[in-house]
Amino acid sequence: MRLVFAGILVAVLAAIVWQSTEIRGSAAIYPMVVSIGALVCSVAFLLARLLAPAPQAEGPMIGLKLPAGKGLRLAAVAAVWLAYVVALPYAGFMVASWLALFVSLAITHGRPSLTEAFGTLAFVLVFAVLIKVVLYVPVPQAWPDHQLDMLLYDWL
Amino acid sequence: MWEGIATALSALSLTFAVLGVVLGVIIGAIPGLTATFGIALLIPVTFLMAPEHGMIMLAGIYAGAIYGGSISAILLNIPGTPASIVSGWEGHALARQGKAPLALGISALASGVGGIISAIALMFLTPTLAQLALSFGAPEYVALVVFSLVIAVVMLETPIFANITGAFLGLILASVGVDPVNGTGRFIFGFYQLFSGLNVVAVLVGFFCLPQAIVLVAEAITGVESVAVGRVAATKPREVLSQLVKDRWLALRASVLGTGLGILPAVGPESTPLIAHTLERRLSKEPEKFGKGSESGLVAAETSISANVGGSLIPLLALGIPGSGAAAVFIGALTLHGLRPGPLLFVERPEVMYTFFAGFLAVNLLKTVIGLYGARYLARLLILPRGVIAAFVIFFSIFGAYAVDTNLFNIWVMFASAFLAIGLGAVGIPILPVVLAFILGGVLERNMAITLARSDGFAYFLERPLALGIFAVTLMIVVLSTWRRLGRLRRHKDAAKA
Amino acid sequence: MFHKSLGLTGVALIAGLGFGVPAAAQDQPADFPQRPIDLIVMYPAGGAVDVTARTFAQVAEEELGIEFRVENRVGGAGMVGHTYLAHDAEADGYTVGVIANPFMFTDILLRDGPFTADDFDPIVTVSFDPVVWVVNAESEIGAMGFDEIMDYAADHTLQVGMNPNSMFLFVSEFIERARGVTFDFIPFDGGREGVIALLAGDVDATATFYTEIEQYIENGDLVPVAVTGDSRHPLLPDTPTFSELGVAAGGQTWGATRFFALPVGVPEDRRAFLAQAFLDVLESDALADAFAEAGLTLTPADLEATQANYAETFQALQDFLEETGRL
Repeated sequence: MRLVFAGILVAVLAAIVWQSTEIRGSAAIYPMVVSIGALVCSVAFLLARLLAPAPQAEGPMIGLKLPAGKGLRLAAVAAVWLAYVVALPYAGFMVASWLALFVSLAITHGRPSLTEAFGTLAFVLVFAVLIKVVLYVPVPQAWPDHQLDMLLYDWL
Repeated sequence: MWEGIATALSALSLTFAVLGVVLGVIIGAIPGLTATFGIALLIPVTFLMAPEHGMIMLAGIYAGAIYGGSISAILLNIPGTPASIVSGWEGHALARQGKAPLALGISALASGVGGIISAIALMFLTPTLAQLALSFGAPEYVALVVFSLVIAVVMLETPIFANITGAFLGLILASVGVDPVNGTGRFIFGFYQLFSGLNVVAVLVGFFCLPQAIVLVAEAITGVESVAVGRVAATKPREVLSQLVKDRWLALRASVLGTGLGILPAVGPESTPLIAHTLERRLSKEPEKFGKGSESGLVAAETSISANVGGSLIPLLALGIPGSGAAAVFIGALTLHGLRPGPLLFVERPEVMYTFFAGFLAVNLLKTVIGLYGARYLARLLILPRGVIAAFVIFFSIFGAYAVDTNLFNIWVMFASAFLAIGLGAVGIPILPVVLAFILGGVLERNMAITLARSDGFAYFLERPLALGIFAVTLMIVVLSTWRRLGRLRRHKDAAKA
Repeated sequence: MFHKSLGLTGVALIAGLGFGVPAAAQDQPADFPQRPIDLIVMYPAGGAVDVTARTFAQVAEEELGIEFRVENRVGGAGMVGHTYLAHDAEADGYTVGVIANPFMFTDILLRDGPFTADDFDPIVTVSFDPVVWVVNAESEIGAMGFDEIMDYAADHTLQVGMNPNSMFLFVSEFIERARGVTFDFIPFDGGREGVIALLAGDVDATATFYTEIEQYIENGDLVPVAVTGDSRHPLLPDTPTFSELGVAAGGQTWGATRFFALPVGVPEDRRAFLAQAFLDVLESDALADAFAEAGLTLTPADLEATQANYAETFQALQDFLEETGRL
């Protein structure tokens, strides 16, 4: 796994170095210096690590231990949220958010729960009203969101 | 002046102050929503209020959010705002030792002390200190940023090349956007949304909140628990107080440092706690404890961040130069109410200013009290099952990343940053230099461009003793730490031979 | 009798003049609006455009009885908001953009924005904010007039602050070309940074909006040298316009023109209603007072004038960019 990430890192850095060679004129100096610096140092570090894998002092890093065997469910949760972002412009904020929250919870806990279904629905409704009436954050709107808009406008 | 103070203590002002602090703490504590976002979100709400009330409420949100970030950092190891990273190291480690109430209490009180000291500076020293900000020009900013980055690179325990790589990576991320000299797009790859650069909130939330949320989901699925986020017992004020009395000089130093750094626009609440923490570790009698659950370390971090808040308002009010990202948003709050920051602000609207100052002081006192006695109730919210917390953290992260620019693109930036953070973690490159370099990279490059445009060669630098001085200090730190590392390497080799 | 009818005619004339009645006020369509109208601002809350929109919304709500909501669609330095207005917003009259030119035009011309000038339908102008060229009172050139400064500049290269590829730079380039001098341009991020540098003596001159330097002019730290536009700034009666000095920076191109625009394709009755209603609000006393209090300029213009100006300024900007080799 480490090797894969290391490889990706070096490849991306090399691409960035190449991209900065495309910049014309003196404006290229800074990006070139910075990207070459990153490439050189990362290669130096990764090689050193490969050659002498002494236990490093674990600084405040974000380590991630993937659970054995349950990786599929974790991936499913990730997929749900990625799908949420894709679906937002089509399903609108309220529907997409409710489904994303409910389904990801269902997957996490292994089974859907009625309390969670209603709880998330209530949360989404309250939040949607909040961002329409108080905070004015424009979120992607679909039919339910427009209806809520009209409803609120009539009441207030 | 006294009428101003009287207005600040009026029932209405205090109500807004309390409201601001409570909202701020909640926003800060929810991972995914940052202080900057909170202020930006609520500025329009204050449009209809009187200027001083609006500003007091926003100051409450600012101060509250900076403190609130520590709550989730301590309990969940998810920094609610990037400023809380360092507090998270110490606080979460303490929480693992079962000392969560102590950590929360120290956080509240230390944060209060720092804030109050900076509020006093704000009240009495603003004109003088603002002049200080004016004497900092482009070369000084370059020197300061280099100084901050060098500290991050040499002071971390991880291998030096890993740190340097991280710093360069951050600089690359910062250079996405517009070339500061030509105004043309750079590293945009055709995405017009990137003309304003990679959104800071999206990247930071992607770095710190999503990976931790994933960890929480993993734990929920497997049923493993890392920290028992159970009922958080009541904080014992006496215990907290005695810790702070023990560390009183440290707190004072950190406050002054935080205020000073807040005044300097190049160093904001993200870098400040790191510098204070590093300094205090050097001066401490128990340096090995730092980073693993040191109460003093927590005091240093919290005091300095909180002092930074007040400090960053000084050049903002006096000159219109924001001392930090959140302060920059504050400018919007001022102009919304028709207050133009600058010397005439004090001349034309002194009553607004003094009301605000007094209100800011009140805000910090309130924050301390609410933190000391209220944090545990907020912590109760975190008793929810991990899966639920994780789902809502992800939701708020997505919402926070979206709402800053009302732009779905930023959500993808956030996901990409999360992927980057996970990858870096797997490879062994620490995230802190990346974060700092990313935040400061723009300041560095822009001011380098200005310096180069202004200078006719080296002679220019001789006119700027301040910049030279900072560079000299930076060089000294590099030399000292290289010495230290070589020494350690030699000892390792000797030990291995023996 | 004769006097009375003369008097009545006189009163009628004066009343007609005083109330500046344009053509008959448009009737409000029966089914519009049924929900709040969104005013889209492409810049963060608290900025000049944002405050303009909010102040307008507040007065307009009282005058028209319609609810307005200000939405900040920030991102890509304005690109995101402009793209939204041009392509994603529904052309039903519920979305009105608050646009500041030439920033939107530079998005099209210099940044390959995914929209063209024809994707917007400007309906009424709010204000034109000219650019002020300003120097530090305590510097060598602090006491000089424009011509003297140009003489000085011929021998001593002036350090002039600017934002890359922005109007502040273009104005200074006008000066260079008109007077045959060369400046040393120092890049800053935003008008305020340049002003701070000017105050600190790090640059010799800079170009910015009046609101950024108002208090420094009042307390004597900075001295305005010239303004863009066709007429002198109301608050700077002694400062000549560039046109007076022989530098061609007139018209409404070289400054911030703020106007309301609809996406293309809004039904004609709603469009006409909005154009007229907004103009009425802009010409009302209540708005004049509110803007004065907020320190905003106000130079309203109706639909025809706005559209003509829009086309004109686009052409002028395009010509300039071609002349200076940027296009």
